Amino acid sequence: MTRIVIAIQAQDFDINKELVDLRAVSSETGAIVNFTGLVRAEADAKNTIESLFLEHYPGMSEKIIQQHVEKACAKWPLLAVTVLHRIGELKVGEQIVWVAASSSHRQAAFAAAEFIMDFLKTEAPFWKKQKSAQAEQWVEAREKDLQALHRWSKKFPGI
Amino acid sequence: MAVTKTLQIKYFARFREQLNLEHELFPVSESIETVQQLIELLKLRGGVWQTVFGESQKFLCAVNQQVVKHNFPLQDNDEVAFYPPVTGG
Repeated sequence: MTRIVIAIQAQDFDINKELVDLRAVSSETGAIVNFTGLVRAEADAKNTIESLFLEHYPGMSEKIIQQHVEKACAKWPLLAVTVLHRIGELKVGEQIVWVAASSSHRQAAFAAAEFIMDFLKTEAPFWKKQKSAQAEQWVEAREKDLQALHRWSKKFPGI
Repeated sequence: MAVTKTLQIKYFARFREQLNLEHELFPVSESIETVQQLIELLKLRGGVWQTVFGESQKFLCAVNQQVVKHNFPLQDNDEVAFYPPVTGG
């Protein structure tokens, strides 16, 4: 049975603590893959992004992440999965999201971490608003992310 | 109008700002059976409602916290959410 931890929270997380926690789940752990998403500085012609505001659909966001993690657990032999997603006001350089998967061998851990991130980008009900000194603007969904998702359903029909 | 169901409707992100509305309890008649029919009813409010739910607009709908197509049937006390394509992660 995969140990699943999902948390949506305003406060920051400590990935070193989380990795120690993951390692302790099972002595059969041979591989841990983790991804950290950060607020990146992005300057365009008009203004410089200072922060992101992250909004989500309480209730649904946790459910959707749980569903996708369970899909990953059905596809790959995972020992543990942790998904942490922050909400609220986040400044440039801050952590937004952390996805980690552990397994006995690396193929499952690599695949599951990428799979979960691709679904997070396209199906989890979160929205980002960019804030600069001059303006606020909601971020548009990207075609690239949708294509990443299609890649998985091509490889695993019905996922 | 015979009120046969009340829907809890939520709006998120850019839609919430455009419509200036986070959520509402919306009593509807028995003729509103699907999400599509609800959308047509909301558009009748005119103005910004036409803008948000207009033909060329991309939006998603969830009923009871599961994404659905517009032909999905609606029942009393359903939680319906409308939101733009997601940008989390």
